[in-house]
Amino acid sequence: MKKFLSRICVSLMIMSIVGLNIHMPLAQASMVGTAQLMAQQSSEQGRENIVAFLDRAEVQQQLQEHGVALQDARDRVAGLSDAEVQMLSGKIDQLPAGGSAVGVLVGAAVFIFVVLLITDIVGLTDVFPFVHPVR
Amino acid sequence: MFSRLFTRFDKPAAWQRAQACGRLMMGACLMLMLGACAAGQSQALLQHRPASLPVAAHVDHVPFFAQSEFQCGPAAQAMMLSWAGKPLSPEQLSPGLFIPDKNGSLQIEMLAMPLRYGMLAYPLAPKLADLLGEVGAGHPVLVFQNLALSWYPQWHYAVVIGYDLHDRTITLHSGQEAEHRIPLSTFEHTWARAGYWAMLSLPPDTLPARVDEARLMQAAVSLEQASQPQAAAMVYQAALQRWPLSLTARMGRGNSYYSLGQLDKAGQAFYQATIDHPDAAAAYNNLAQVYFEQGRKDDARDAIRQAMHLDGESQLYRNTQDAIRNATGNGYGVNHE
Repeated sequence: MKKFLSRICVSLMIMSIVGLNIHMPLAQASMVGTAQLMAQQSSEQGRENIVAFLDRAEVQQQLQEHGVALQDARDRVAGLSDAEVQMLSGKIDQLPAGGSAVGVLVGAAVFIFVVLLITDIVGLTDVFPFVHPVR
Repeated sequence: MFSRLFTRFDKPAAWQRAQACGRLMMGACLMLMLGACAAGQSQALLQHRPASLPVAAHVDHVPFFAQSEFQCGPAAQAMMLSWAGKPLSPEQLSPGLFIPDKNGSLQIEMLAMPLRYGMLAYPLAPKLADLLGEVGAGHPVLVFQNLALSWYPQWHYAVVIGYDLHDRTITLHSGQEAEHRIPLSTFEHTWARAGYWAMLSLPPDTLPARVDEARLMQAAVSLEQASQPQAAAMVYQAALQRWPLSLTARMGRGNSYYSLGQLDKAGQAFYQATIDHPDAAAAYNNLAQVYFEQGRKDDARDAIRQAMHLDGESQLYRNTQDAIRNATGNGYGVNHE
């Protein structure tokens, strides 16, 4: 519920900003940007910009919900391209995050330990540093 | 032992059922474990090594940072960027890469990080030959792996620094271990389970060894968009040496210099673009804008007229035309006709 309310808040804020006609900095006024050139000057440019803008707010919020500090989340979203933001928007939960090794296996059942031990020995996986695959 | 087990069952039929059931379970487990797990690319490479690929290679002087808990992303990227000439620690990169609740880092953010430091981030094609080719050319490669199993993933970032096709091994800076040497086939299994994902973090004047023009242009545009025009200009310059007639690279070079406020160099690039590509309206438009800002009003008018002639539909070109017309105070084009 709280999440839902905050989302409505963010959406309203964005709408008001869009309504007030405060533009995000686009390409220079009358220069054809390199990205634009590559996209063959799509006629949907304007709409895409607004969608990307909404996605940016969404991704920033998601990062914060996953424990990233406000300023860091802001910087991180600013460093992404529109396409990348679109790929992340609404999907941070499903995407794999590389964190690896230490500690991950602590909670694993003995069964999984044995399976991974065997697959390590056979050379299919590389979980335990002390196992060297037979070749 | 088996006979003792056997005596526990009163009916041989039940034992047989149990045996069949066990066999089925074992089979299912093996299927799960081995599912889609042939190390095809390394086998093919070992059988037919491309002539351009050295038998063995090792990138020296790649600094190693042992990862702290869940910090393999920042550690791997710190190794890449430090090698590329930006001495950075995992701790410095962590606030921009790590997601606490996910205990890890996302691939998209790994690709965005080098841009912040004016470095080229280049995603590799999902080919082992390309990966090893980069290592052979002296570039460390950042890889994404699933060290465990598809149904029990353990996602991991590491840096490939060497390989030896004779020994069939690959060497990585990985986790807590520098120079972690494993069989090439094992690596391929772990890499395949993470979608064959790999990237380079390179100084902007260095091209990948097996470079694809479209991929490189996308990477250069990303640098431009990340407010790194100086670095972007260097990538475009390197690209033009490789593909002298690339319109994107020529225009990108002009746009980068325009962002830097270096109008002379921007104008040169756009002018060259109009020579190489006489039908590129965008080149004439940008050239007109630069001439206009340089105070060369007549040249600006001629250039924008040519842009409008090639593409009369564009609102952007019309804006440029209006700006030039208003500033000169004349009815645009009247004094020429």
